[in-house]
Amino acid sequence: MTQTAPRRRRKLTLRAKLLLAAVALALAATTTIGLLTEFAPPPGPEQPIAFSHRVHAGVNQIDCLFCHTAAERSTSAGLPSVERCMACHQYIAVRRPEIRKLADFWEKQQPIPWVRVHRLPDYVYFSHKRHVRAGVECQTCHGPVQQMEVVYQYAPLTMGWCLQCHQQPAATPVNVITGRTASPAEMARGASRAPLDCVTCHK
Amino acid sequence: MPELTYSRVNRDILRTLETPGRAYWIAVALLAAGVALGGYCWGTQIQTGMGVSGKFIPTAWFAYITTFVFWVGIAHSGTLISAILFLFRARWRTPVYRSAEAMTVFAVMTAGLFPLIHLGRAWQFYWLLPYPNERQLWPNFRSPLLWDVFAVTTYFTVSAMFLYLGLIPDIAAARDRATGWRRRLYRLASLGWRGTDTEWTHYSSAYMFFAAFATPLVVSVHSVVSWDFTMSIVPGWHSTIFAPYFVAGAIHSGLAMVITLLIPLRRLFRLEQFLETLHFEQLARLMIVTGLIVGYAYGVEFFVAWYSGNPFELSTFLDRAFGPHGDLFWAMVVFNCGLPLLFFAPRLRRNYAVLLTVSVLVNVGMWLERFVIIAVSLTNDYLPAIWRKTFHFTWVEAGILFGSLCWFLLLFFLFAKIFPTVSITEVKEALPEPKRTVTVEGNA
Amino acid sequence: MNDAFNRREFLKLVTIASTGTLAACSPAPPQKVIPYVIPPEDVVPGLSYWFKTTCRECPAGCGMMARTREGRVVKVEGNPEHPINRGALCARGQAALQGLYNPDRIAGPLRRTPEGRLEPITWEQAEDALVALFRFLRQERRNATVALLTERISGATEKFFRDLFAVFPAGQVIQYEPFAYEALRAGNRIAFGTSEIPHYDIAAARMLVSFGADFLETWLSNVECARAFADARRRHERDAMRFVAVEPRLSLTAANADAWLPARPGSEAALALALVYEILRSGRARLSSTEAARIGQLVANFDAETAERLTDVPAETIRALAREFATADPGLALGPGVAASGPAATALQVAVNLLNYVCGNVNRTVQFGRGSNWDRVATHAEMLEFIERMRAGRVDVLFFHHANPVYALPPTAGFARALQRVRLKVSFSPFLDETTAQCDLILPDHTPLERWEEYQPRAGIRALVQPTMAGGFHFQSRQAADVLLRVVRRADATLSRPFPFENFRAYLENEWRAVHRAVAPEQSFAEFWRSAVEAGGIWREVPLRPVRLSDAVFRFDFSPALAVHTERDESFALLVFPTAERFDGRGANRPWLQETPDAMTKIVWSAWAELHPETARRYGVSEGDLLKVSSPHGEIQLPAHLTPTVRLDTVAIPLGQGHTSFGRWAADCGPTPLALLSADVEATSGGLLYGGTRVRIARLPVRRLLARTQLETSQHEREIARVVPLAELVAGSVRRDPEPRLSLYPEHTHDGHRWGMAIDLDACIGCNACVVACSIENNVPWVGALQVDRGRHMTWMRIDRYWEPAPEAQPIGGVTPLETHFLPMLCQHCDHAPCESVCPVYATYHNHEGLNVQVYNRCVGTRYCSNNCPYKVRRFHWFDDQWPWPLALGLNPDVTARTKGVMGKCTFCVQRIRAAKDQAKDENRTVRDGEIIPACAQTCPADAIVFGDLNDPNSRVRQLSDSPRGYHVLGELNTRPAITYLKKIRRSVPDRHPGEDG
Repeated sequence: MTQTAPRRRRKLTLRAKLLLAAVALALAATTTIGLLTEFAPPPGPEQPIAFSHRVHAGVNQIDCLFCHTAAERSTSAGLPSVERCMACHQYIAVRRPEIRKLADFWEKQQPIPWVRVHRLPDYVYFSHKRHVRAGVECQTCHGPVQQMEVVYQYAPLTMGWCLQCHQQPAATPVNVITGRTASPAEMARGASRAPLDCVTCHK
Repeated sequence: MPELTYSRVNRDILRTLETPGRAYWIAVALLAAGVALGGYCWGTQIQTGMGVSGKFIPTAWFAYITTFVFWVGIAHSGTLISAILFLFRARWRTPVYRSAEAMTVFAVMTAGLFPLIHLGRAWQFYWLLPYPNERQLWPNFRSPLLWDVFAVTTYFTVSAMFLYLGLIPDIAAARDRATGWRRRLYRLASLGWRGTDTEWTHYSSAYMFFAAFATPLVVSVHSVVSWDFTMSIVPGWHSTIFAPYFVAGAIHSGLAMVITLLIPLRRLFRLEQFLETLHFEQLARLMIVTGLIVGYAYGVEFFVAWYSGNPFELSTFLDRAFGPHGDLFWAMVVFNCGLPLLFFAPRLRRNYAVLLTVSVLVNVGMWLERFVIIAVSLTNDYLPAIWRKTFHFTWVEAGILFGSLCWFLLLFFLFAKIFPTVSITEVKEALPEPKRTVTVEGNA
Repeated sequence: MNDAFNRREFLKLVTIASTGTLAACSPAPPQKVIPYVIPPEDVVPGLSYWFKTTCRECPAGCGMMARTREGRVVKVEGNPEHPINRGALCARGQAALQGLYNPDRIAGPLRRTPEGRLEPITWEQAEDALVALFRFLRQERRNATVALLTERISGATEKFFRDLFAVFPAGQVIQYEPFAYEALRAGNRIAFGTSEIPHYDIAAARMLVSFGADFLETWLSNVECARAFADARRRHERDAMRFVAVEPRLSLTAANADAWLPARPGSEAALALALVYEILRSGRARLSSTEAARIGQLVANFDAETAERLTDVPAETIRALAREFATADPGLALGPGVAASGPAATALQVAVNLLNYVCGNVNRTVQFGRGSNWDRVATHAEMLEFIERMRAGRVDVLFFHHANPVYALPPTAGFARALQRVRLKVSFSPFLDETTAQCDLILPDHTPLERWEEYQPRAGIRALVQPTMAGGFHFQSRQAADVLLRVVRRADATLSRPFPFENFRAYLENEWRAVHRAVAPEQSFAEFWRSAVEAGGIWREVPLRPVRLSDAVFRFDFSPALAVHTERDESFALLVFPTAERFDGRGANRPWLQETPDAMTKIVWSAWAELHPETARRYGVSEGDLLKVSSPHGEIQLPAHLTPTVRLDTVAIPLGQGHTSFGRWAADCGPTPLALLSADVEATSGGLLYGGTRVRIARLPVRRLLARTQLETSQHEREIARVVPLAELVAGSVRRDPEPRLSLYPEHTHDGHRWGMAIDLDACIGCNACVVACSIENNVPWVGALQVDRGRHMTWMRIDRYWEPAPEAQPIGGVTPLETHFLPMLCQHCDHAPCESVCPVYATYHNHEGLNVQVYNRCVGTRYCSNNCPYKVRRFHWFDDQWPWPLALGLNPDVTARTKGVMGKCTFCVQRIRAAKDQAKDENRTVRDGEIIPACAQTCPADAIVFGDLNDPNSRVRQLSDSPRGYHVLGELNTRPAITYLKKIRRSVPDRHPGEDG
C-alpha cells in the first residue's frame, strides 16, 4: 500500500491535466461565442413596408427631424404620420410596389404597424428633447442610420453604455461616426452637463 | 464494557459507515420530501410575491430573519467545542466535536438560505455581492446586511475547511477498508494521506492553526449578525449589548442542538462507549453558564430601557413583556434561563430524557427569543399610528421553515453515513499506546 | 286614463329589429409602434395637454382640469382660476378618473328581452327603438306621461332637456338629488322670504358655529367651504376665527372645531334658539329694540336652562358661547347638514337664520344673491308624490339621466316597487346601477369627462363641461343629449326646426350666443366661445341682494325644537351621516374611494356602526362584532366600531355603501342605513328624515372584517402632533423646540436646489384629498379590505389621526370632548435618512437636491429600509399590482408602475420636479418658486402643504419652515427631515373675557 500511493498520485494528476484542459477549452469557446453575439449588431426586423433609411436619410439627405418631428420637442421622437409620407409620395415614386403599400394604408385610412426597433425598459425614462438640444447627434445612439437599408439596434442601450457619455460628457463625441466632440456653444447648452443622478432616468 | 483497542475503535466507528438499514433510508426519504415541500413553498412565494408570507408594515422582518439568526446561532457551538475547547485541551470534547463541527457547517448552509428566501426579488440576490458590472454600481458597504454577507461566507469557508482537515486521517482510515464508490470517494477525499510522521506533524500544526483561526470567528460572526439590529434605530433593536448577548445566546442554542442531535445519534449508531454520560454532563454544565448569561442579558435590556429614560425604548419593552405577545416573551425566558438551571441537579443532567427535552425546549426558546426581538419589537415603533400587533403566520412560511429543518437534518444524516461522526484519530489519541505486537491496520 | 295599452305594447317598440353584439376595441400590442394616420393638429406624443372642464362628481360644480397624454386623461386637478375651488379638488373629484376608466361601465346599449334578460344591441338598433317610441308617443299615444328623472342640471343643459321633453304633451323633467337641502330652502323662505341657498362667507367670519353642517365633508360645496375655512384660520391675531361645532358625533368637520358640543341628536335647534334668547337677554343683539322685543317673544321659552335640559350642554357654556358669538364681528352660524336633518331641521334653519340676524351677520357673512338656486330640485315630498303617481300607473315612460333613486331613496319610499308599474323605463346611466338594472332600454351616456354640458353651481358662474378625451375609447357610450337630438329629428320632421342641431355641442354653442351678447358683445363670438371653453366657463362677481326678516318667521311654530327624546331607555338615536369619500354613494364603484380610509374611523371598504365604548360595554359588544340594528321601518346587520367620538345614546351609521348592483368594487361593503328610515317627510320642508329615527341594537355571535389603516388613537405623550396656544403665538413667546445637530457622517451639501416641504397642521383638515391625489398621480395600487387589515395598504400619503381629551373641557352627556390632530405623513426626505444607510444595494440614496430617492429597479426587497424608517412611510409591493383594463389607461406614464418585491414611497413627485426643470432648461432659466407643485399640495383645499426650494431664502416653503411654529416630527432622532410641520394652534372656546358679566 505504501508504494501504491505514488502511482495513484501520478494517475490522478494526469486525469487532472486532462480535466483542466477540457474545462479551459470549454471556457474559451463559450466566451468567444458570447463576445461575438454581444457585439454583432442584431439584424433589423422586417417592416410592413420596406422603408429604406439609406435612401431617405443617406442618398436624399432628408433631415431626421423632417419625419421624426417631435425629437426636439418631446421625450419621444415620434413617427411620421401616413399623411406626412403621402405628402411626398403622392408625387414621388408612386408606382413602386412598396409605395403602393403605403398608398393602400392611406386609402384605408389605417396607420402603418411598424415593428419597434429601439425599446427601453418601462423603468427607464429617456428624453429625445434633452439630448437633441444638447447637440448630441442622432447617430451617436442610433448609429449610421443613413447607411442602413433596414434599421437595426446599433447600440446595446444598456445602463453602462449610457454612463459612458454621462460620466465624462465634455470629452464624449457627440457624433461617433465623425468623432466630433461638443462645441463650446453646445457645452453652454448643457452638452457637458450630463447628470449622473439616478432619478435622471429612473423615477 | 470491553476495553478499547485501536482496532476496536476503527471497527466500531467505521461500522457506522456500513450500508444503512431500511430505517435510515426511510428517514432520508422523509427528510428529502420535507426539503421538497420547502422548495415548493419558496417557489410559490417567488411566483406570487412576498405577500404569501405573514409580513406587513411595520413588521417587515418576520419568521425568515428569525430563523436565519437562529441557524447562525446553532452554527456556533460547533466551532466552540471543536476549536476553543481544543485550545483549552478539554479532552472530553473528543467524541462530540466531529458532529458539532458538521452541525456547524450544515447550520451555516441552512442559515445562508434565509437571506435569499427573505428577499422580495430573490432572483436579484447577486446584486448584494461586490463584483464589477456594466452598471458600474457597487453594494453599499455601510449596510449591515452586506457585513452579514461577508461574515457568513467567511464563517462557512473556515468551519468547512476545519471540519475537512480534521476528517482527512479518518477518511484515510475509512478508505483502507472501504470498497466500490466509497473507496474511490475516500481515495479522492483523503488527498493521498498515508500517515507518515511528516504528514502527522503538518496535520497537527495545521489543525492547531485553524483552531486558533476559527476561535475569533465564533465571536465576530454573531456579533456582526447582531449588528443587523443594533445598527438600526428601531426601539428594542438599537442596543449595545447585542453582540455579547447574541454570541452567548448562539452558543446556548448551539449546545442545545448538539445534545439534541447526539442523543439519538448515540442510540442509532451504538456509540455508547465513545459518547459517555460524562460528555453530556459537561455540555449540560456549559449550558447552565450560557443560560445564565442570556438571562442576565434579558435583565440588562429592561434595565437599560428604563434607565435610559427613552420613552420609545421603555414602551417597546413593556409591550414585549406585557403586550399582546407577552406569552412568547415569558416562554422564551422560562425555556432559555429557567430550564437549564435544572442541570444543577446531577441526577437530572445524567438523565437522557431530561437532557433531550430541555435541549429541545431551549432550541424552541432561542427561536422565540429571536422572534420576540425581531418581530415583536417592530410592532411597537415610533409612531403609534402604524402600530399593528396581530401576526398571521402563513402555511408558506411554515412550509419553508419545516423544509429548512429537514434540509439541515438531511445533510447531517448523509454526512453521518459517509464520514465518521466520531473522530477515530482523537479517540485513539485518548487511548494508551498499543503494544508493538499488535498488527496495525491502516494509519496509526 | 291610458289603461288601454300596457307594458308589452311599449316593450314591443324596443324589441324590434335583430340583435347585434358589440366588439370592444382592444389595445395596440406593445411591440408595435402605431403612428397617427392624420395627426391631430399640435398633439405631440410624449407631451401633456390640459383641458379645463367642470367636476360633476357632486352638485358643488368645482372647476377641473384634465391632463391628457396621447389622447388619454391621466390626471384631473382643480382649476386654479375657478372661483369655487381655486385649484383644489376633494377626494371624490380626484377619483373621477376611475369613473371614466371603470371596467364596470356598460359596454354598449342594452335591451331587455321578453324573457327579461338584458342583451347587447347596436346603437342603430337602440336609436331605432327610441325613434319608434317617440313616434308612438307623439302620434298614437299623445296622452302618455313621459318623465325624465335627472341629477341636478342647470343652464343650457337644463333648458335643453326641458324643451326636449316638452315635445311630449305630458312630458316633464324632474331633478333629483339625494341631498336636496329642503330644510335650508324652507328655513330661508320662512325667515327671509327666499328659498335661495345663500353664499356663506366663512372666510370673513370671526366666530363660526355649525349646527350639524358638515361643511368640510359634503355640505353644499365642501371644497369651497374648506378653502374659506382655511383662509379664516390663517388670521392668527387676537380675535382669530373660532369655530364651535354642535353635533352628536365628532364628524371630520367637528374634529376641526375649537370646541365640540355633543348635543343630543335633534336638539340643535333648541341650542340655537337658546343662543338667540341669551344674546337678546344680554342686550348684545345688533337690531332695533322693537325688533329685539318681537324676536324675544318668539324664543321666550328657550332660556339656557331649558336648552341644557334638552341638549345636555351646560347652561353656563351656552351663555358663554352666546357672549362669544354676539361679540364676534362678524360671526356666522350654519344650518343643518344631512346628519342633522331630523323633524326639527327647518326649525333649526329658522333658528340659525334668527341667530345670524340678531347678530347682524345677515347680508354680511350670509350673502343672498350670490347663492345657489335649488328650486327645481325635487324635495323628498315631491319625490313621494311622483312615486305615488308611478304606483297608480300614471307614469308611462320614465327616462333616467344620472339619477339612481332605487338606491338613494329609503326602501320605505317604495320607489323600486312603484317602478314596476311604469310601462317603459329607459336609462342613460354609464353604469349598471340599481335603477338602470331595472330598465328596459339602456343607452350608456358618456361620463362627465367625455361629454359636453353647462352647469351653474351658483349665481354668476356659468361653468362648461367639455370632453377631455374622445368618448367610446373602450365602451361604446354616446352622450344622451346627442342621441336624443338625433332621435327627435328622425322621429318627427316638424322637430328639426326647434332642434336643428347636429349634436349637443352645437346646441350649447348656440345657447351661448345669447350669453355672448349679454356678457362680451365687443368680442367676436368665436373668440368669446374659444376663451370660455379654454377657461372652463365664465364667471363674474354678482352683487349681493340684501334681505330683511319676513313676518312669516313670527308665525313659525318652534315646537319641533322642543320634541327631543331625552329619557334614557333601551332605544338609540340613529345618526345617518355622509362622509367626505362616500358622499351619497355615487362613488362607491371607484376602488380608490373605497380604499381611502374614512377620515375619523380610518375604516376602508365597509360600512360600520359607531358605538360609544360605554354603550358597547353595556351590550357586550366588541370591535368588529356583527350588530343587528333595527328600527320600526327596517333592519340591517353591520360590524360595530367602538369610538369615543359618538354620544352614548346614539348609533351612527355612514351613508354610501350597500349597493346591490354597481360593479365589483361597490359590492359586499355592508348595508346602507337608508333601510332604517321612515317614509314620512319633515312637515315644513318636505325633506327626507335622515335624522329622528329610534333604533334598537343587538349583538350577533359573528365577527366581521372591519379593516382599518390605523388602530391606535392616542399618541402616548410622544408629542408627534404638537400644539401651541393662540395666546402664546399672539404674545410672540413661541420658540422652536431644540433638536440635536451632531453627526458622525459628513453633512450633505445641497448646491443648487434643496427641495423641502412645509405642512401647516393648523390648516390641515384631514380630508384625504391629498391621499387620493397622490395615489392617482403615482400609480399607487389599492389592495382591498383583507390586505389592508393585514397591514399592506399602499398609500404613500397617509393622514395619521390622534385624539386626546380636550384640555379644560367638561364631559357633556357622558362624552368627553376630544382634541383631534391630523398629521399628514409621507416620506420626510431626511438629511440623515435611516433608510439610506441600511440599503445594501443603494436602491435608496440622498441626491444632491435633498431628495431621498428610491430606485425601484435597483431594489432587491430586503425591507430593511422600512424597518429603519421611524415614520414607516415606505410601502412594500407584496404582490404584483392589479390594473384591470381599461383602468390601466389611467396610469401616469411619467411614473414607473412598481412590480412585486420592491419598495416604493413618496418621491416629492420627482416626475413633476424633473418636468419643471426640463422646461426651465428650455427657457434657459432656473425653476421659479411655486412652479413645482406635488399632487398632494396641488389638491389641498386648505393649502396646508407648501413645496419648494429651501435654498431660496425668499421661497414660500423657506419662510414657513423658519416659522416659530415649525418643528420636525421625531426631530429628536436627528433624522433632519426636509418636511417641517407647523404646530396646530389651540384656540380655547368659549374663552371667558375677564370682567364681563354672564
